[in-house]
Amino acid sequence: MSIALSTLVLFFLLIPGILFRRFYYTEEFSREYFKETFFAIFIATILPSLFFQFLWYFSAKLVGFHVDLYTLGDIVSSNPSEASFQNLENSAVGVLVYNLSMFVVASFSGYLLKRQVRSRRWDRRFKFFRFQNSWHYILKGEFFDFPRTEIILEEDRVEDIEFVFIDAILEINGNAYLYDGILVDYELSSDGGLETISITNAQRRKLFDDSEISKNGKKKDNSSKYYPITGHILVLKYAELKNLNFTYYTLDFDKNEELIPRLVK
Amino acid sequence: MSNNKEQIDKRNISFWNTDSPLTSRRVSIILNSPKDSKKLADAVRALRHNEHSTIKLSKETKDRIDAEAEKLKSA
Repeated sequence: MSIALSTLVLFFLLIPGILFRRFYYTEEFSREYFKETFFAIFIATILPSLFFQFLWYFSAKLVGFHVDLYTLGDIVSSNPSEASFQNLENSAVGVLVYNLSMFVVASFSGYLLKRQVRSRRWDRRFKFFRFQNSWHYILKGEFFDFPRTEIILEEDRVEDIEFVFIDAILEINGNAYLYDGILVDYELSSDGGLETISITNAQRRKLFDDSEISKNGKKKDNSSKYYPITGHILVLKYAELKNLNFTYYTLDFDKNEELIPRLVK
Repeated sequence: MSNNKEQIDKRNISFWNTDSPLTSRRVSIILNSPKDSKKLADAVRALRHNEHSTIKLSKETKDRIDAEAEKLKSA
């Protein structure tokens, strides 16, 4: 068997799985496509490829289209016969339609399955469907729906979270600073980790300017210790952060029909 | 102001929109106004000090939220 030709044929047979996987990991999870090892990608590609190859092979038979496996085997053998290439040439249109239709359906299947998994929240309910982008689940508060999570939303749902308030500790010239603000954006790094977070209405104070706690357990006002940071957004590099605190809020109306923030519970 | 709890104050996902935004549409509109955005952040900070602080939105922001709520309702 010609090694170059057999590798090419193997790659061709794997194309449905490659397309399925490519279209499954799209949008917010697109980086996950490149994140896994070559072996993991290879295995994750073989299964959908086998599925679509078998499905198309038997479906073609049902509609009276004969797939000649002997010709395929002969082409990748060490001594391919001229008749096999002649056969392939004669059926070129059929082979093209057969494969193109399989590629299109595999792509759509991956795309639609991902939408089904997300819209039905299967990725939150079942670990099997969970995407590896753990920051997505933290930043959007979707981890509340994980079966193993110890914090459960009893009154609200994840969809009720209207915004996330961030506290981040950053060390500058040996001094620790606490930054806070409303989360408006984030960027993931190429390895799937967090690259930056962007907050708006940011302010900062030195960490040692913590609120004193009075005897009745109330925090004393330390707002004068904060320095407001003017600007639209403040971008914090995750690599420079010591730790992050996430607080999830919704908005309620008070008796005067004015909005008031409330922790989701 | 509209109190439409169906859409404007949710980060719903659907089959065709599986990537929920970081903020609800209502908060997104508030954040677009520098003044109201500051009021929201200040209200959160007040809440953290056990103080009751409401957000009195500007008329422009209220109108935008109402218009958006209507648009979402009719969509």
